[in-house]
Amino acid sequence: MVIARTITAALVLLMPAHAGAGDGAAEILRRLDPQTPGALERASRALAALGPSAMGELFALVSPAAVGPQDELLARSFRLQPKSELHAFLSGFTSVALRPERLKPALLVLREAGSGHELARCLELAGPDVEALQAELVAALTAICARDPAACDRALALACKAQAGEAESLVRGLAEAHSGPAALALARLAEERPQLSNMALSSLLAEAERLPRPLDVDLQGALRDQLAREDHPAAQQLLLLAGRLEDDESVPLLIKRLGGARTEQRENALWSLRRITGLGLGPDASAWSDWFEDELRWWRERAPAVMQLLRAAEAAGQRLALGELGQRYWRRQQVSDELAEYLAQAPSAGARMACGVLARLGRESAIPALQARLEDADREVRESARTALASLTGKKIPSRAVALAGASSGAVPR
Amino acid sequence: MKSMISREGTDSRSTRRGSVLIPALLAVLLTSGLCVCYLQLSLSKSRESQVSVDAKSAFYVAEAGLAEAYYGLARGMQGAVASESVPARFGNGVYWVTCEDLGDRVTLRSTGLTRKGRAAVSATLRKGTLSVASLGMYGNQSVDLRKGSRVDAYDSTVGPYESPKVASPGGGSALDARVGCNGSINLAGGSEYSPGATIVGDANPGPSGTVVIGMEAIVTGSTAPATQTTTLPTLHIELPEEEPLEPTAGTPVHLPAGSYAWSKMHLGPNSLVHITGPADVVLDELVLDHGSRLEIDGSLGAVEISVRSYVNMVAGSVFTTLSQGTDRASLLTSASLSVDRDRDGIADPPVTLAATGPFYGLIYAPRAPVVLPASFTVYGSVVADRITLGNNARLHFDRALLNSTVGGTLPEFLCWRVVELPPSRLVDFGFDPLTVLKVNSVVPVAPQDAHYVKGVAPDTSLRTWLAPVTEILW
Amino acid sequence: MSPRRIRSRSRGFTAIEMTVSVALAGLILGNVLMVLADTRERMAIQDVTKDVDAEARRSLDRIAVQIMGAVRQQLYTQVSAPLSADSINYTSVIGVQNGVPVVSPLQRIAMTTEPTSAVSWFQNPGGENQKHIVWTRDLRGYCQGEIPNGIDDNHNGLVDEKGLSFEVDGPMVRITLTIERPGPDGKPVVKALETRVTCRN
Repeated sequence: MVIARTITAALVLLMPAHAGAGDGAAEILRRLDPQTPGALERASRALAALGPSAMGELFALVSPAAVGPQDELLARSFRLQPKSELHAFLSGFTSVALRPERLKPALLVLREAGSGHELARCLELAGPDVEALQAELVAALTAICARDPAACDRALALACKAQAGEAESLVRGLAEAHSGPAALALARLAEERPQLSNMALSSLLAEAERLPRPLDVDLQGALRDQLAREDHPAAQQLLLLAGRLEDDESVPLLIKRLGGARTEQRENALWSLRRITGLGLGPDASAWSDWFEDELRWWRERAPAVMQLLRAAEAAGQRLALGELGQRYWRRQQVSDELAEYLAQAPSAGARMACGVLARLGRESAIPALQARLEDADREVRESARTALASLTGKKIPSRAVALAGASSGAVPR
Repeated sequence: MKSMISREGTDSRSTRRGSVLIPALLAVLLTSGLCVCYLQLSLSKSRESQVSVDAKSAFYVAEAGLAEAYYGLARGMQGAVASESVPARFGNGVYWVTCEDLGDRVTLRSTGLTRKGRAAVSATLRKGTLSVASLGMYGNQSVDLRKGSRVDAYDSTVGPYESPKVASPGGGSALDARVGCNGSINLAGGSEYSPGATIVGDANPGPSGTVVIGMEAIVTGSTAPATQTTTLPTLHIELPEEEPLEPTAGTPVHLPAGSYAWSKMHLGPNSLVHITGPADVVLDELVLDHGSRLEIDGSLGAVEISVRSYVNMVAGSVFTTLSQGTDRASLLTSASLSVDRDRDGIADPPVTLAATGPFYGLIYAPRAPVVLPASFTVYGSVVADRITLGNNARLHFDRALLNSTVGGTLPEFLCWRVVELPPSRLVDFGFDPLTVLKVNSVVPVAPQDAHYVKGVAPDTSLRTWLAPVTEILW
Repeated sequence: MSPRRIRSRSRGFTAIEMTVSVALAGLILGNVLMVLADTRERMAIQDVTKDVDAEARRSLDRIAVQIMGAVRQQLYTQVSAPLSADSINYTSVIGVQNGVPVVSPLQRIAMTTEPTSAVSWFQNPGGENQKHIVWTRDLRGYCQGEIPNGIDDNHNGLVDEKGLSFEVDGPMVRITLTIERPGPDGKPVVKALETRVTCRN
């Protein structure tokens, strides 16, 4: 059955375009006005509506360069086809069946419509010398991994066995997917195939800032486990990843490396510690140790009471709590989340302080809570929120919005 | 009655002796005494506040001395300024600065005196300078190392280059190369047929950059991002208006030491130009055709070639240095625009270095991308807008350039502190130093004239100062 | 009458003369004493003011010189703006050995409140070999113009600043010091000073 489908698909690809369906597709493309809102979406559906039998003709219309918006539109229409027919059609995408000038269009279609099952097909199309088609290959792998979480596990399995060039493409594809499952796959790849660990983790490092937050707990755990190994071949990258991902729980490990014997690891550990905490302490491990012990003690002994004070109705207690929370340099995200929640219902005095502390903590997740206080009745609260927002976003927030809010106490133009 | 009164009045006037003068005098004396006491009290309070003002003033004078010494160091002086026996004048005070040479570092000690104030501060500086050459391999936007390429280091003050044995992560040594970037650094991976890129040393990307390490690629040192970006100094090269230099094939051109400027230096096939240093060559375009040869001999002095808009050394040309001093040759170019110069419809990059080396020195192209092929091995530094080390290319950073003055000099502060006052009668006296100098017929020097050049021993003798006896201590 | 009788009669003063002269002397003395008392009081207040001023300047200069010599990477306060810190931890360079700076143990300048508000310097704070020196007493509880209400009353960007306050901004540290002493008239004499210094190390 599979062989029959493959042969059918191959024949469809090799045969010249069928006059009727091809004319229909061409007409749709001719009448397309990309400037009209929703036109691309409608055109894509119209192309898909031509039916599975038109896939060959649609594929034939994709130009060899496979770069224009029309080509992307054609490729995207494949996504709307019934899955079984689509898979059958895509199974005909082999380097043997396709002419060399059709490889790029094939990768484009796989990019737009492929699933995890087509990962190996992408690699096969690119061939042994992946460099010629690397950009298209990586784009296809990226899109598939971003779209289909299960594809990330398949990519991991493939990368564990792939040759150097293919492995590199898979790693880049996973890294540029900017998804939690893809990042986890990279972390696991670093563990399972040590020769690729440097590449996998440095690619992950390059894209770390673009990973969706909050981070996957499994990902952080996997990276931390590897960070604990001093002899890890990619120890440098792991140390920097802890900082880029702002993993609070890796601080003890980083402090240990800071006091270690390896100079290059000490510098990376210091960079990450400064990044996670915002503290500007020097390379002295004992200074960091002392600071961390203080923090641990606080979280263990004072944190519950302080959180209770924050949530209580008493203003003096809230002020005390805010003062103590403002002294924290560890677990800044957690503190920021608590304060953002508090800010939503805080009285004016507490809100002013909370805005200042949130600005100091520097977490962008606090932005919505601060934006909400831009409309506060109290002018000083509005000012504090505006200053905090400017600090977090790096942009000047016009005070005119504040003045308007005071005048109308209605909706604020932003 | 009237006569009695008048008689009494007459008699009273004649008998009264004016004894009220004494109590009046006593009262005046008493009042004067009280005034003097209050005046003394007031003056003593003022003196107290004046002492603290003088102390602060002396501190600033000492700081001024440090600043002057730093300026001298930056200009290649020793660092010492004036001396205790002939101090430098600054405002209403004086200072002198001593220096202690510690090899690559120097400790300066500045003593400042004003009226009653005395202060001494000290700073330790690293003589090394932030020169462009000390950056090693530095790309403003990106650094790419292709398969098989390698960046390592050696120290020409110790010996010639010797290839390190085996590079492994964490296997860094004192001879670490420096690779830096304001963006990201990419090391291409290798395969079973070819090794990946290698950096024996540190690779520090920009604050938001990363080092992407391909399979089988190695970085032995730190990969921590820099805390801030580095601004590359801009090159200003004046447009030469002279005629082009186009040597005839087969007729070598020898340029002895001196300054030269041409609109273009175009070496055709089989042509040779030999430049002997010290020499400055300023060009608008530098073109080396296949089979041409440009030699630099910096053994007698440094040679600097500045090219304003276009450098093209095609494959098969030779651009080499005959001396192995990496501070003896530099190629600086402000070229930045890709222009179709040969009218083939394809824009030509501003800098092409496909020649054959080796080249010992600095290549500085802050606004152009530079691709170094395997044929052009560089010993020294390369700093450009974007750097690509081609397959199997080599760059060997000379760590002696860390102490080089090529491209700018600025000593680096290591530490500062307040120190004890030195043993000196001028310090111990407590008089206004300008008064003491006057009494002893010593004229303080102007700070700019008080620097010691290298090789001249500063005056460290302590003068026997005479106290100004006429000064009254209120 | 004989001249002898006239002479003997002119040796004394009449009661009226005495009364008038005593009254006049009393008036003059009274005025002088009043002026003296007033001057003494003013001098006393002036003395206290000058003393407070001198003490504040001396203390601030002392703190400033310490912070100037501190190692920036090892200098930190427990809080940062807009909250105000009344203590600062730092290490400083105490010497150079073979061209390498030698760094002191941890030091701290802090406002202590027992038994009275004072500026205290600690070396190895909290440790076994802790050294503690009081640099100046008479520290005001809160900075002039500030009351503990969670608001930045004096609009300088810090909330509830105490008599000794530090704000670290990059390599720069802003130090605010407020000294207060009771004057001879019972009214407090306050001196508030502020300076900014840059860490040189």
